[in-house]
Amino acid sequence: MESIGESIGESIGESMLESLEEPVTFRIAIPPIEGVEDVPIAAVQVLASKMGFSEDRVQDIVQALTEACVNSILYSVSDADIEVMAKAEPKVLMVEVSDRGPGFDPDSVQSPDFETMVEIGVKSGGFGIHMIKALVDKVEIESSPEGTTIRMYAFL
Amino acid sequence: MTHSSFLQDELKISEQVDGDRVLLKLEGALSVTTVPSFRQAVQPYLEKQYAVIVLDFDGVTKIVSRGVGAAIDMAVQAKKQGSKLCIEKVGKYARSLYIQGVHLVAEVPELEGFEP
Repeated sequence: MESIGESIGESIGESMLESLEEPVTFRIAIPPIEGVEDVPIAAVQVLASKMGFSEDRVQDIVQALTEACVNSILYSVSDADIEVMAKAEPKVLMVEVSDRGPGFDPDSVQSPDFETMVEIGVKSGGFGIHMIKALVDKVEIESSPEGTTIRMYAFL
Repeated sequence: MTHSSFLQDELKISEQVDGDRVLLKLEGALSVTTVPSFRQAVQPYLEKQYAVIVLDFDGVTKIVSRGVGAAIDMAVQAKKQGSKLCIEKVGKYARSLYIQGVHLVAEVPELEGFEP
């Protein structure tokens, strides 16, 4: 016959295991001021490290998030906050950056033309979206005149 | 839309001239805020046509693609006038620089044979 102690032990163990599988989510809202994005980026950096991503992969995530935040700040047209949301699951880190900027057509963003770059340089803008796509495993972009959300996934 | 803030990024650049070679040490963030001063600080060295301009990234705390774009523009300008731009000690930023093709215009020792 099962003792009460064993029964309680099992149920506690099971519930603890369940909670270990639960996603952990946090949100940080920042004003569109360049430099302030370092705060949510630092939080995501710690989260990615705790999840077990290698140092190089953490840097990739940090760099992709930096580009997404900077784009949101640059193209903000009001003082509306930019929201950074991170969701950690046992094997997946999802980081989302949402702004209320004027939006853009993600399909119109062209891949870098390195032949031209070698001849005349970059001159304006950067490679933000290209960088993000190259640094994380999956990217989703939703954009409308009301704002843009960039969702980045890194898989363990 | 960006505002100035006491929290904004800063970049300091110090120089060491050795004949026709100049070493520029960067300390701080190479970000949208600091890119104009980065361009402004390096331009005189490009105009003086040093044979080699070295950018030392050891003290760089943050990079954005626009900052890397500025370095690419400098390398192209240097190349056109017969000089050379080198970027050293890129450390954890190697992959980001590689993705942007910096090694195609500048000499980046850490990117020789680099496999992303």
